[in-house]
Amino acid sequence: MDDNTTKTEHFKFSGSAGEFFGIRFVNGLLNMITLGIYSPWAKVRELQYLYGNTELAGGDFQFTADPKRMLVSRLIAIALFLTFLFVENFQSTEAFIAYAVMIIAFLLFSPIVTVFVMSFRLRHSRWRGIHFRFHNDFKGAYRVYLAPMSLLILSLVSLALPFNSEAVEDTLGITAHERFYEEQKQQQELHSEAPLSAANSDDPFDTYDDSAEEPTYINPHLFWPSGVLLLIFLALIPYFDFINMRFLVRNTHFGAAACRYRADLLEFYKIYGLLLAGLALVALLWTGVALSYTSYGLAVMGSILFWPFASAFMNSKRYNLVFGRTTFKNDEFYLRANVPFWKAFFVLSTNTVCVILSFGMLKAWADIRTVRLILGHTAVETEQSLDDFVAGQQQELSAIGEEIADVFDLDVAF
Amino acid sequence: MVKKSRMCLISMSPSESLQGTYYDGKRSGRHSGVMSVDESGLVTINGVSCPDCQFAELTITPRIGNASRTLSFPDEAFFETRDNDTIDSLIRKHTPSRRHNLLHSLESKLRYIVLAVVVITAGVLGFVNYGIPAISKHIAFSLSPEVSTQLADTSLEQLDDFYFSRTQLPKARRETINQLFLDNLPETTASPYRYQLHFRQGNAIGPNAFALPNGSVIITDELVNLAADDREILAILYHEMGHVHYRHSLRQVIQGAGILAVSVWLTGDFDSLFDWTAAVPAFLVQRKYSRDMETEADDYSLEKMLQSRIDPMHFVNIMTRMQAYTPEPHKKTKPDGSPQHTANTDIADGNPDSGTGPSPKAEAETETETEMKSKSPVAERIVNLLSSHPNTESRMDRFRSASSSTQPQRE
Repeated sequence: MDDNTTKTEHFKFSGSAGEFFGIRFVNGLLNMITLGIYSPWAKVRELQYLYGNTELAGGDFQFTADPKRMLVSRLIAIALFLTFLFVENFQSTEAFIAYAVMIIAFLLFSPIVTVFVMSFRLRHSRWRGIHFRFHNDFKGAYRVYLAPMSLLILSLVSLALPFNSEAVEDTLGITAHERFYEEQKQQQELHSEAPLSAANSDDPFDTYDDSAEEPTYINPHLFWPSGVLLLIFLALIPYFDFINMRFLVRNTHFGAAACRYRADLLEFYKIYGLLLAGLALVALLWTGVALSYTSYGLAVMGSILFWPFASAFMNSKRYNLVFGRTTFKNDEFYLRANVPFWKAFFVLSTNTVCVILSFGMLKAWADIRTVRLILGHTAVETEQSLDDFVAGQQQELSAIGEEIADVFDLDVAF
Repeated sequence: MVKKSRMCLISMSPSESLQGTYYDGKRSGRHSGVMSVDESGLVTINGVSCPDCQFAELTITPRIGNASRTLSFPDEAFFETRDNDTIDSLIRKHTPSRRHNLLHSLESKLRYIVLAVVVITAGVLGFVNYGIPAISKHIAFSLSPEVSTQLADTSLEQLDDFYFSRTQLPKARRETINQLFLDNLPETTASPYRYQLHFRQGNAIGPNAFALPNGSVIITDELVNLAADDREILAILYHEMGHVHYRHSLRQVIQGAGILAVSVWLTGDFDSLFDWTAAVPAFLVQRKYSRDMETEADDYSLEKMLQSRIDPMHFVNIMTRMQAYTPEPHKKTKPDGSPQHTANTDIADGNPDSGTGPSPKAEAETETETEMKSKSPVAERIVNLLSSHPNTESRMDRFRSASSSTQPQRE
């Protein structure tokens, strides 16, 4: 069946906003009646509708997850979420400990969760009878997420340095703080002659506490470690994004065929560089306001307009970089994605406006438009036949991670 | 699974055959064909060698709109088709006991969709308007009062750091007002709170009063100085006691969780929490709850004033002056995103356009009225929807009418 001319197979999406609207609202009604128990069935039904209306080279996609299995993980997730909401609002020590434990646990387990989510989605996606799958590479997940996480945490932790300047200087053998406290003392002596703060020691109604106003010694140079770490983190965001995408693509398989990621790190830096340039422009507007070159209204308008532009830009460019640079089966099959920025801007911004103005009623319509936009600019390019993909060996897939994933059947926003 | 491959050549009547594609589940090759089911229920696919199978043995995915469906054989092979109507008629004929597409008939009939939209809208409106406030009130009052004091809201020290400075009022004046406060507290046996009055200079906040959930009430020097009569101050203090008494801070937290619960409940997933378009209705609802609680605190104040035989007109007078208040150097501003809207409860709204009257005057009523009239009614309604406090005019009207009904001799 091989012929050596390149074929381009476009994705075709045939879902309609009207049908999806009906599905959404019946789902909403059933969720309401069943107090949310129905939600896994609702979710699966919506995904099955979207998948079943997506066609590529004569084959439709199928979403094959079992809603019953999703129910348990949802109940756990809701319980965790409610606990989190509860402890967040109280300031007892127990609540704080629970809060801290939850945050740390979330950070620690987020790589595993990411793998589970990907695995769940892909395992239950099928095209032409062949299932996708995600290799449960937990070690790789930690390799990818540990660096950005630890950088961010280190930067936060080193914020403690300037606020404990005295102790830091003591260990370093610097005595700058002593001079500060001497000056402080002199100042206070000068101040105490003023009539204001001399009063009120015998006044039971004076609950104002000046002691809070007493400045603690802060050595501004000790902000450097935290600042530098944060800058390094910001400068590496495109890199982290890149290795994250590469990790996700490399572990994706279609049947027995593995994926490769052909994007360049430089491409990521280009996108983020443009975003930064846009941000700089907005910052320039505000500097103009501060120096009264430009009007306040212009700066506000610029900032408000910047948001939908930036969001459409990042969404379309990053989508193109992920789905436009993935290949299957030793580069024989290329995914192509070229969602144009202006079209994305138009669709996404009108979606947002309409959803807000309709109080969410038009969300179904907006979702269909988004899917149509994305799939309308995605294709597969190949010189080979699409008939020769083979299913992966099922035995190999049933690793321990897979079984844990089955218990949880995680499905988080992705 | 024993499989017997054979070529199927006979086709049934057109209404009983399905145009589609067969996949063996092992390779991605397509096998276009026509599936037919004979009288005995045996499945054959024209032009394709398929496993021997009865129609009843097939696993058929439910109908969802006009999305394609699969008819799966007992092994991983399946037949994919978009001929949904024929599948449905085949199901009716060969497996009548199978559950029919109840969901699809709901989803595809306009009357049921309209019904769903109406029920959901009514349910959400009802729950948001009555359910959440009632439930949170019930929870707040069934929890021990210590829970209120444990709330992690902004503490007095934080407010001191950011907004207030030491009071400049003479000690004697403070003693008088504090005595007024103590004399008019709710009966100590009934109230579990340690009510305490704090005096602070409000600075940018101007004349205002705040209540913290633990029973601390803060009153600014500007407000004390603005009052022409101590009963005006008492009217405000009653309002703040109302906030504490009705556990408004705690209820606000529970109501916030309730709003999140509604969106998760309806959409069934957490995506909507991260979707900022959902934040707009949530914000409006929060604002409505805030206004309701202000009204409740006003009710408390009004009731107490009538009980103590104080003319409710004092509340109107102080509110009028607060509305017209302009600090000496520049116009009144309140820091944006100040914490008191979420955690504390203050007496007056920080709407800049409600406080920029020219100068404090005793009979500023007419002034505020003309100001209201000059605004377009639509703009006014939008402002009312967005503000944390009810419209000041209507708040004052309630006290005015209470005053005229109890003391008809007033001018």
